[in-house]
Amino acid sequence: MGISFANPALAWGALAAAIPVLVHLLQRRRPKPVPFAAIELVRRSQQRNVRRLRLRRLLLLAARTAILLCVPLALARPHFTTSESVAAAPRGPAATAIVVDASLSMTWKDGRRSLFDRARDDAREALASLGADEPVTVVICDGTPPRPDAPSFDRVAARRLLDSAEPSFLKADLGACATAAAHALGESPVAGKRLVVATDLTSGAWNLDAPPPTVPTESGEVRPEATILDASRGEALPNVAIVDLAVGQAPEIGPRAQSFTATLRNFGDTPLKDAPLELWVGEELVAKGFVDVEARGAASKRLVHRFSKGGAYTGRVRLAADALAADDERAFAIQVPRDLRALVVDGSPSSLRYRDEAFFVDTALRVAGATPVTATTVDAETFPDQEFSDYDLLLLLNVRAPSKEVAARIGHFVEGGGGLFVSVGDQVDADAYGAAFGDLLPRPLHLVKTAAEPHRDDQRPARFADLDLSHPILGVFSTGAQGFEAARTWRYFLLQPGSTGRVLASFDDGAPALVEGARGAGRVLLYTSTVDRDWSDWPIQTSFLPTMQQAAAYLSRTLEDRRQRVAVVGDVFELDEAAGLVATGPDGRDRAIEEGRVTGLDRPGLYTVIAAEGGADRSFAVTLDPAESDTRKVDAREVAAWLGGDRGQVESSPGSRSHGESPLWSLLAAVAVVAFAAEGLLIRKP
Amino acid sequence: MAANLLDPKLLAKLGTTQLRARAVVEGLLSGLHRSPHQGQSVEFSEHKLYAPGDELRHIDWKAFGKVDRYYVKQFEHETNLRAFLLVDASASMSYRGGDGLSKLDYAKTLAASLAYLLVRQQDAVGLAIASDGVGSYLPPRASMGHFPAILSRLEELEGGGPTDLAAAADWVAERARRRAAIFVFSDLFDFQPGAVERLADLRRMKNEVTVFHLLDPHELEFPFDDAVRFEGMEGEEALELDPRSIRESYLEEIGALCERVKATCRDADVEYELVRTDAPFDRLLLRWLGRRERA
Repeated sequence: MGISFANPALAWGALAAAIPVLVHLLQRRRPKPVPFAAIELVRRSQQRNVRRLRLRRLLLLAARTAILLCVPLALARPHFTTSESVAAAPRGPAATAIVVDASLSMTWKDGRRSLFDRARDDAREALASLGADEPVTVVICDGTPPRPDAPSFDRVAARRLLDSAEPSFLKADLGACATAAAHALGESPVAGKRLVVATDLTSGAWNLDAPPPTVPTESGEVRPEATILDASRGEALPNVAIVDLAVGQAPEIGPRAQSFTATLRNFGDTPLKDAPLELWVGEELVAKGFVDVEARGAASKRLVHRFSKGGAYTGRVRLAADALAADDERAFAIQVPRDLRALVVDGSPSSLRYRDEAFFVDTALRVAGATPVTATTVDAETFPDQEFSDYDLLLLLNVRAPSKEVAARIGHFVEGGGGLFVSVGDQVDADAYGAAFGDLLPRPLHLVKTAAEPHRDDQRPARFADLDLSHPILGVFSTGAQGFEAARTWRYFLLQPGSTGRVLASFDDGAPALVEGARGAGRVLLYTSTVDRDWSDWPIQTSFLPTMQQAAAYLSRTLEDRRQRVAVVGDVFELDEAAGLVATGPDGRDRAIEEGRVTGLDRPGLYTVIAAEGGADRSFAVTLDPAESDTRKVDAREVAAWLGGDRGQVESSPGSRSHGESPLWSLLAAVAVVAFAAEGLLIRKP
Repeated sequence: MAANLLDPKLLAKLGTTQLRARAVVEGLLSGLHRSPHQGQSVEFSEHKLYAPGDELRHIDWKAFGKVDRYYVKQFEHETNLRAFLLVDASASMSYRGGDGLSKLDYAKTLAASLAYLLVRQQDAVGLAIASDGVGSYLPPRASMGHFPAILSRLEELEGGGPTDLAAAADWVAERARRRAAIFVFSDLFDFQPGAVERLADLRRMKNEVTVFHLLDPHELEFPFDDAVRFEGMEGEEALELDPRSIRESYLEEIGALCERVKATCRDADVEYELVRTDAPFDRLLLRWLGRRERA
């Protein structure tokens, strides 16, 4: 322990404290002699007051001494150094790297000052405390790859870098920054190596399993002397964040209804009660709910909204702002599916509805689903009269092979982006289909295979096998494909061998059941059996309806639209639409688009892709990395030990002292004021 | 103008006690506008039946011729006062706080003034100087020729030695065998037990006692600010202290002393007069004379 002075010269003024003592002594030696007759009365008075007088005289002496001692000492700005800070005190000149955590969690704000403001002040003080012979480099750890300069004596540049630094929305890797800073220290010839890290010590920024930073020197790798400046001052950092937002369909509400399920996490020790959660679409508040989140727990809240029409929408889900406001809001950009128009061609009509070829398909499409479908059913004779461009989707259900002219129109329709679904049956002739459609189908039909006679229980029908659940159509069955296992198929078309098309489902003998193909901008799906109960009972299984609805959406390219257009801060966003010119961020600044990738996503919010002439602008949302919302802290001593081994230390309250030392000047000033007042009282009161 | 001349500060500039006393008395008498000399008389007062021991020359032979009895004439001058002026001339009386008179000078002037008044009334005036007991003595005489001797003795008087009121009181009591008026001029800084009470005992011996308690304004007000080394005037040990720190208690002490003396005198029927040495003489004497007339 010891005391150091910011202005040592002024401390000499403390010698003035000897003045009252000298005055006191001189007064004792040279009082004015006065002959006095009533000296006996004086003596008696003195005896009466002797204790009080002695105490008062001592107090007066002490007060005057304190004034003259404390004032110059206070002006000299002394600091009391503890044993801990003495250990941290430089044992000699050291090249110093100051790393400032500028990650999202540093925007945590208690009152007007954020953790980053504190950390920057700590860093400034650390910079100011360096000796003239100590080079320094400053590393702002904001999530971008750290590229620290070699330590130099350019204090102005270091100071300017600190002044211009701003916290980012990126996830920072303090370990990587410390490692880079340690490497930079190796470029300095000064023997001492010191690492100062100003951070909030949130757990997301530290990976203590990584190798600790070392400084390369001529004598090998050495551990730097490390100091953690805790911007959180050892306090907990409570935070509630929206860590995820899932947007899905809400068919129970109606067509075009969307659900927004926000996942909230409470990283504090206090439970959150009845916190309002708002859903904003554009600038309109459309739904609001209340949510409870246990301390250190998580909760989900689902808000729904029915959109009046399809199209692109943007908005945000918002929680009441807390100390870390950036993660209390999450933006979204979604495409609400437009209404589909489907032309259903019934190749085998029947007066009995349930025996009609189109009955099950028509029913499946008309059931209110995520994508509203308007189905028009015609028979095979009249469908060539239809204008295909009026529809998004064409379904040929057990239809005899059309003429080449009609097939060409169909091919043109598909190439233009239309969807085509083809199912077979007794009306389908493989050769005629081959001649009419050519390569429009994913694979040419070959011949009909009868696995068993229909509805004969003594024979084994074919069953679905090898479902490609990764395909968007079958992705809805990713949690279980029970509806497929029960389906029995007695008869189906075999396809000619080949590798074209993507097989979504096969029968248990390996024959393809569902095959996807593509033509131009359009998509084609071939089902090798019937969609009525003639060859298969799949239409009455539970898997049939969602498969048809998904297929309709997929073929008409609206399934992809259901996905959120979202990216994480710091990542890139890949555009699937025609290349845009530029992407404008929430800060109004443009980001470049190169090869369909938007980069420079440095802040959360909505980005608008400005399309080329004739195209429509589209938006996408950028969200925060949930890891930065996690304000739980790591053990500071572990971090210090990881950084510097036995030369690592933590300062939990660097802001309250100067350079790791406790200021004494304010205390001295207070003592001087008190002494001044006491002296005045003692003088006034005899 | 005369009143101004009675200011002790002006009187202090007059060189001698005689001059000061004369200035005081003349100023006083001019202010009174009446003669104080009516007390001097040798006129017949009354007859007394002769008794052995009476002087034969005072026998009234005319009365003997008429009534055939011896009567002795009694005259007023036989009832005149025998006054003792007991002046304390201890070292403490030499104290002078400001630029006025010292207590001793004030006492000398006051005593001389009284002596002059008394002698002019044909009263016999004696002088006793109390200094370490009684240093000097002039027996009471009523003639005007006695006054210069008193003045001369007072003029020569200088303060010195300790105050011993008890010894002085005993000494005066021994000489004032008959009823006498005893005037004491002292600062009464005799802190031996019973010293003031011994003065009161003079009254119990049928004497008429008046105590002029003389104190300097500095002794009454203690107007010291800076650190002071107080040196005793009668050999006491010196004291170094900050006067402001004890002023309050000092004033209490001096007040208590005055009250105690005053109470002692009152109990013993002794006239007590607290005299500040910056107080004009005329007022003091007028007050004293007025009180005597009422008595």
